[in-house]
Amino acid sequence: MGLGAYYDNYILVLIFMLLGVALPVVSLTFGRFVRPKNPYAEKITTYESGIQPEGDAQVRYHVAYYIVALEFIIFDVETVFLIPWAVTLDQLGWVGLNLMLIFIAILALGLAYSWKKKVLEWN
Amino acid sequence: MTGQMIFFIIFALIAITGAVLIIALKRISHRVVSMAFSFMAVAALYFLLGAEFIGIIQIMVYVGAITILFVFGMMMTDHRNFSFGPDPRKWQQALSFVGVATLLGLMLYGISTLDMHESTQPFVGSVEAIGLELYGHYFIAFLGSAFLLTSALIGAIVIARKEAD
Amino acid sequence: MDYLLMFLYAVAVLMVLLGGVTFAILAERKVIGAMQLRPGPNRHGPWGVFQTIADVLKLLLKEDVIPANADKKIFVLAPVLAFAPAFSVMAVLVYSSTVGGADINIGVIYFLGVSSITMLGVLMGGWSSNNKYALFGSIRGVAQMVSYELPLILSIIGVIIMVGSLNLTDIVNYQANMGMWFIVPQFLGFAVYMISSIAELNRSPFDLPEAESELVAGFFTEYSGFRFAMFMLAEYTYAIAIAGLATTLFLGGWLGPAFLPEIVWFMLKVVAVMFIWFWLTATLPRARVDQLMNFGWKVLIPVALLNIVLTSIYKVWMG
Repeated sequence: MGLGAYYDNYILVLIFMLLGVALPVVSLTFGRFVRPKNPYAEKITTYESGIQPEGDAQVRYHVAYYIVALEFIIFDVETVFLIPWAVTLDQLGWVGLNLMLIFIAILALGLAYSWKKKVLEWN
Repeated sequence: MTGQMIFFIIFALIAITGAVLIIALKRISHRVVSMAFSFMAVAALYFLLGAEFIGIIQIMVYVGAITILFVFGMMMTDHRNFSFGPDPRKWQQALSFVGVATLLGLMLYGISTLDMHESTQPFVGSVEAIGLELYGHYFIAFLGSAFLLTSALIGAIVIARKEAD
Repeated sequence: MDYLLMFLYAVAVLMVLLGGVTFAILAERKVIGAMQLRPGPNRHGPWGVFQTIADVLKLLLKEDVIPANADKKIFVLAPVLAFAPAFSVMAVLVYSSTVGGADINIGVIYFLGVSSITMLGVLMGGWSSNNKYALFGSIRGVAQMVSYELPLILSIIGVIIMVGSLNLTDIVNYQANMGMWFIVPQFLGFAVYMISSIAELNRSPFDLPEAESELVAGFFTEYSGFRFAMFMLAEYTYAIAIAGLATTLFLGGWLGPAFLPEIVWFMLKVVAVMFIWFWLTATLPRARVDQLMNFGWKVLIPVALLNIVLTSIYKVWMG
């Protein structure tokens, strides 16, 4: 495939992205002319079911979420490795299949470890 | 000036601006957002080079996963009540400036003397080529990366469990 | 001239999409209403067809409240970060053998990679509001989306192994040559895809980030007026896009008997997938957080990996 067709396709992608940004920006800018603007202290306080907000919302959060994000990155990279393998599997044949089975087995070991350590448990 | 060059300059400027804002902005949440924009601009540069697979992986892993990890890390720490201490002294600033300038000069020198001949035919990197190289010639490195990922996972769990208990 | 044509195509897709979202919202309310033996919206126009349009006009005329404690810059940026990627993924969808968007070699992965940016919008919206409900909603939501994105990608890899290409047109053509839709040989993958796409979209029964009985409105609690509308629009745009990808990958895209045009077949299949989601919304109670996470990591990911192993053995065996 020539570079010209390649760039043309990505220009279409770029047009979609710019339109996706433009729609919220334009509609909110023009909405300014039709919507009222009357903020006062009570209206712009943080909503907390109608009572006075208690303390700050941006508190320290539990470490469990951080571990989930870490596991996500590890397995995300694994899936990234799986994609070129899946595309070329018919050329790689049995060697490629065994290679990936070993790879999946090693990573399943990591999943089993986190399973056993109860990282995936939520309470 | 070709269209390619114009897009390159736009994306390069976004990438550099984002990178500078990561250290210049005051609040950590703003820094994380500018980091995401910097990553996206780098991905766009990959697309411009014809490396579409690497570009989309840059978005998937860096914007979609590593930025999320940073935000969770930000939420986990007590970053609001933490200050970075007084400004560094004058001579420290001067020293770091000299160091950075030297590094930049070396890199620019290296790039300018690099012998990069233009390829005769335009080339679009394909996923098939990456797959065949990776699982054909470099399969030992590939299996090594599996061990690296697993040990990273186990290490992270061990450290985080110690913190939680 | 070519670029003008591209621009017109993008605008046309946007217009059709806005109409589609309008009627998807109405259809959801009507379908759930009918299943629960109530009429649903029926005041504006015949069968309430103008209900959503009235809602949008109302939202346009509402004041745009930004809380004093909010992080204003990110608060403003978050709806854009949620909508732009959800719309950008439509660029690669192929609607028929003649009508289609960008014909890039990495179609499927482009879709998944760009849609993962949506998470950043959710997280930033919840964090910048400086509201407890919003923060809980966004953290729950992102933990859930992160856990279910893996089975979503893994379920697609079975299809990629069979086809040997990431291009959406190639995938549909392969199904045409095979004479069978991938829902049959890849049923395991289809099941995993459907379940994890519901969690990705924060739809019931996995709508914990927006659990209105406990979290008010979840991560967009503090959003009002048209910014709120943007979040809703992003959600439904993403839903239509995911249904479109399901159609392309598992339901044969535009393939179908010739008495209807190809593009109509595509739309009908998208509608069918979305109907299944509405049905589940009307039927199932909400899952708990621990059930949700356990199910994702301990059931869906192993099942998706099993599907990959079985498919690859089959593929190599058959040559």
